[in-house]
Amino acid sequence: MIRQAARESAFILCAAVLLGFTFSLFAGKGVFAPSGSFSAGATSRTASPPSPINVAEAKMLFESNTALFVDARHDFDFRRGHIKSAISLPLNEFDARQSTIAALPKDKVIIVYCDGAECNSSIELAAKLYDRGFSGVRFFPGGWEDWTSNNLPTEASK
Amino acid sequence: MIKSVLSNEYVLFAFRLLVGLTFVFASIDKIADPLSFANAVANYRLVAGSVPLIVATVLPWVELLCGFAVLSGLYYRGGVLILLMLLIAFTLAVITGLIRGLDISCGCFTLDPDVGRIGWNKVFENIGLILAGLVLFPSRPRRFVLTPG
Repeated sequence: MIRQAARESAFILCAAVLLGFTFSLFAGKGVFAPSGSFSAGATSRTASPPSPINVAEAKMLFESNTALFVDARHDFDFRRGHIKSAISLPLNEFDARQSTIAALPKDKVIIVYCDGAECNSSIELAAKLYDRGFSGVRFFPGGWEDWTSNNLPTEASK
Repeated sequence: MIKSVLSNEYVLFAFRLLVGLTFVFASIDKIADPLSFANAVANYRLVAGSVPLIVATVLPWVELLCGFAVLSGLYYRGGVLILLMLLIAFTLAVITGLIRGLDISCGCFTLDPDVGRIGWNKVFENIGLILAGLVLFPSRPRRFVLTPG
């Protein structure tokens, strides 16, 4: 039974590899897609702009009112609580929120944050905004966790 | 009692439909958009470099062929065996992602990040499918097959 299963598995795997690569070659998708269309995960873009910002710097920019905070979390989390004066732009609604993006200031520092060190959405959203021409965008890896643990100003949506 | 129920041809057919259709449907979005699937794989931070792209090119086809194998009875045991191994790997990936607190989309049935965030419900879904696979593996379906398994 196991030997038969192993033989059949090998056949299926070979067929899948053949089909996958053939489809990729003819459709121009996957490994044979035009170079540069896959960046080995959005998280690997941290070495290029936008750059990270720590809580002390974020606090300073907040207090001097020279930065706009953008919340990349889900709407539900934003409504429960967010950095004071932040605006909501959930990563998964990026394409649907064109009016929000168009209203962002291009001459101001934009600080994108999500839950904390373990979430990706701030980095991904910052990269997308950077690609849209927001050169002053930065991401705040400490995010909501760091901000609240330092007792910095927050508010909840009504 | 349980053994006789689980060896009933109609019960087995129901399990085959569940497992087979799940993987056929799961593969469609990924075949259509391998780059988005590659990003979903990369977000788990378990593999790096070009590996996610290679996985995204081949894995959906493995799922599709195995789904058809389970549904049709052709290469049935091989299909079930691969699906069992995939389900165990997917479950471990989701569990490690949850333990590390990753806020990522599953990349399981849809590539829409708004729909499939990873969570413990995904782990329980997978465990259900693994149990169904374990019932199917030793079976030899004789009804509703293209050729006898």
